[in-house]
Parts: sequence; structure tokens; C-alpha cells
Amino acid sequence: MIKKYLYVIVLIIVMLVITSLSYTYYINVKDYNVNLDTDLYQVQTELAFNGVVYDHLSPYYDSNKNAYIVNLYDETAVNFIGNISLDLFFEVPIASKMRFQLNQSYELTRYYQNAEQTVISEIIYQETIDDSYHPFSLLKKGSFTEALYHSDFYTYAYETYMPGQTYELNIISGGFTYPAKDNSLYYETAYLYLDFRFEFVQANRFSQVWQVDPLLLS
Amino acid sequence: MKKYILVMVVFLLLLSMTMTIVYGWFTYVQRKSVSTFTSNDIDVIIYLNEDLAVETMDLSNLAFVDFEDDILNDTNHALNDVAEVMSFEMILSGNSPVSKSLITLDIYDTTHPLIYMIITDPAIVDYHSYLASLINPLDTKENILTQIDAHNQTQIDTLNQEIMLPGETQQFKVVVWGDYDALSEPKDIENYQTTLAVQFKVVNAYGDVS
Repeated sequence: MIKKYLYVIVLIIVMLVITSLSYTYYINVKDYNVNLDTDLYQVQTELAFNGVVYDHLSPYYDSNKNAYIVNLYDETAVNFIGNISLDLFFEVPIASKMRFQLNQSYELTRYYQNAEQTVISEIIYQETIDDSYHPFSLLKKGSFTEALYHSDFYTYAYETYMPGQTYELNIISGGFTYPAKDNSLYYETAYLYLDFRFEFVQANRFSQVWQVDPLLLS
Repeated sequence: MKKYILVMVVFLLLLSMTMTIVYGWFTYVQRKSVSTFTSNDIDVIIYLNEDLAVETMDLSNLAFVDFEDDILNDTNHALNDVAEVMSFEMILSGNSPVSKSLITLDIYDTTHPLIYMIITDPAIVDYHSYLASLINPLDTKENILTQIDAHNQTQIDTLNQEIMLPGETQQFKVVVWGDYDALSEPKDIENYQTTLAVQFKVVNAYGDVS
């Protein structure tokens, strides 16, 4: 009698084991959650003379004019134009377009060596030198040259910048010396007051946001 | 002795019935051999954008677009570039039985402003052209979104009907944009967040995955 029950119990156990095993063998479920959100632009500019970065607190920044002071005539000056470089570092959260504007004011001052010690200052116009220089500027282009200079005075990068990588663009690298005069009647100083503006916009909205032709960068 | 034989017969009978019933739960095919029970576990590896998938993943490149300018006309030729692309790859291990899957996608935010497109052909990278081939651009926005949903369901059905041999790979992409007009006020795109839940349920090829 006991044996009979034993058989039945064993049978039930075997059935249960087979049932559970067969279930685990034949199904596999994996669940994943993908969080979708937006991110911010990471942008940094570095203006340097001889490779040393100077910020808004440096002696080469005029906080009244909100511009860097660049010496155009004295090759021995730290902030001499030949020593300047401007680099842009950035990461974009979505495919983006970039444009920039270099705001430049060339100021020439003439000190007369007369009894009155007359001083005359004027803003001078700068012609475009050639393609290796920024338009209407003594500043030489850096390694970044794939750009379009537009009539709105902005320079537009052709490239569409993609997320997931860090970009480094060398915008300015050196410049042309201004031939300041020094004679028995007077001597001159020449400075450039330089400010810059970089703008980014998601690539699918650049023509609407910047009010330019959608085919401008094609 | 007779009793012993009788018990054994009953045992074997019940055992075979059990196997048939269990087997029936997953295949609905009655002729399958009992050797099915000796096959290995179904094992799959899932990759998202070439990284091994983990329980929770973050993608922070969602771009909001204008329905007419971008989705329909792609005025700035940038709809492809700003797409948030999720490339899923499911690899069935070499030891697994022939299998098939039930893939489901759910967005937690039921009033979400997302427009998404499921693509099973990995060769397709021009999403705007592909999208244009699915819709009637002269239709209303509501109808166009319905056309996209219908396409997505077709793609999911295709995936779910696909039989995978051991070692085979199943791929599909989910291409997502945010619809700026559909974003609820205040339109705070910088802080917008939602979650897409993806489930892969894999069973042996003749099983029931519903």
C-alpha cells in the first residue's frame, strides 16, 4: 500500500519538474528602458598670446570696451598680433550649424612731438589682405578655413557638427603687423580691439533662426 | 508483478501526457518529439547603438523639429542629421533552439510629442526619403501620423513573424524626433524627458508569443 502511494508521489514530482523545466527552456524576456531627453551645448573659447590663454581679467582685456587689446606694431609686446591665436572647443547635443563674427576696431593714435604734444586718435579702415586672412582684417585665419563669409558679416561654417565628439577649431593664428610710423614729427601706436561671437543652432532650423537662404551652405 | 507493470504503464502514460500538454503550451504542434525537452535555454544578447544593452539607458540627443518645415519638406536638409537613432540588434545564441520574438515598444508619457519610425532594413539611412515614401504629404497631419503608426505596426509584425536560427541576428532601428508643435506648454525643450520601454520576448519558433 505504501509502495503505491510512493509511485504516485514520485510521478507527481516528475511531472512538476518537467513542467517547470520546459517553461524555463522556452521563453526569455528582456526589458529595457531608454530615457530620451535633450542636452546642452558645451562651448569654450580660448584667446592666447604665445600659447598662454588670457581671459577677461587679464591686462589685455578692456572691460569698458568689452574687447581684447591686440598690439599691432610692437613685436616685443606680449599681446602683439603675431602672437595671437583664437581656438574654439565645443560639443553639440544634436546636429548643429555654427557661425561667428569677429568684431574688430582698429585704432591708430598719433603723438606729435610739438610743444602742444598733440594727440590724434582715429579708427582706421582695414582692407582685406588675401584669402589667408579674415575679411577686412589683419588677423590671419587659423587651420579652420571651411567657411563662408556672408554679407551679414557673419562667417558660416559649412560643416554640420554632430553629437558625440569634441571639436576644436583654430579660428585665428597670428596676423599682419601694422606699419606704425616714428619720425621727428610724431610717432604712432596702433591697437586692435577684438571681440567675437559664436552662435550655434540645431541644423534643421538654421535658415529660419538666422534668416538666411536654406541653400546657403549647400 | 502485475501490479508493478500496471503502475509503470500508468506512470509512462501520465508522463507522456504531461509532456504533450506542456509542449502544447508553447507550440500548438502535436507531432513534436519529446526530445524538445533536451534543447538548451533560449539566450539572446541585445545591443543598442553597438553597446551592450542594460536595464536603463540614456540618449540625450533628442531634437525637436517643425512638422511642415522638417518632417514634410526637410527645408534645411538636416532631418536625417538631427534624428535620434536607436539601432537595436538581437543576437540569438548558437545553442538556442530556432526561435521567434515578440517585440513591444511603449512610451510612458501617453501625451508625448514624439514622432518615431521603425525601420527593419539596416541599409536605410535617408530617413526623410523613407518617411516621404510612407505618407501622403498632402494629407492632414493627423492622417500622416496614422500612416506612420500603421507602418510601424507592419514593421513590428514583420519582426515578430521572423524565424531566427541559432546564431542569427535580428536588427531594427527606431528613429525619433520631437514634434515642437505637439509639445505641451510651456515648451521647455531643454528639460523635456520621456522613457521608451522596449521588451523582447523570445520563444521557440513554434511557440505562442502573445
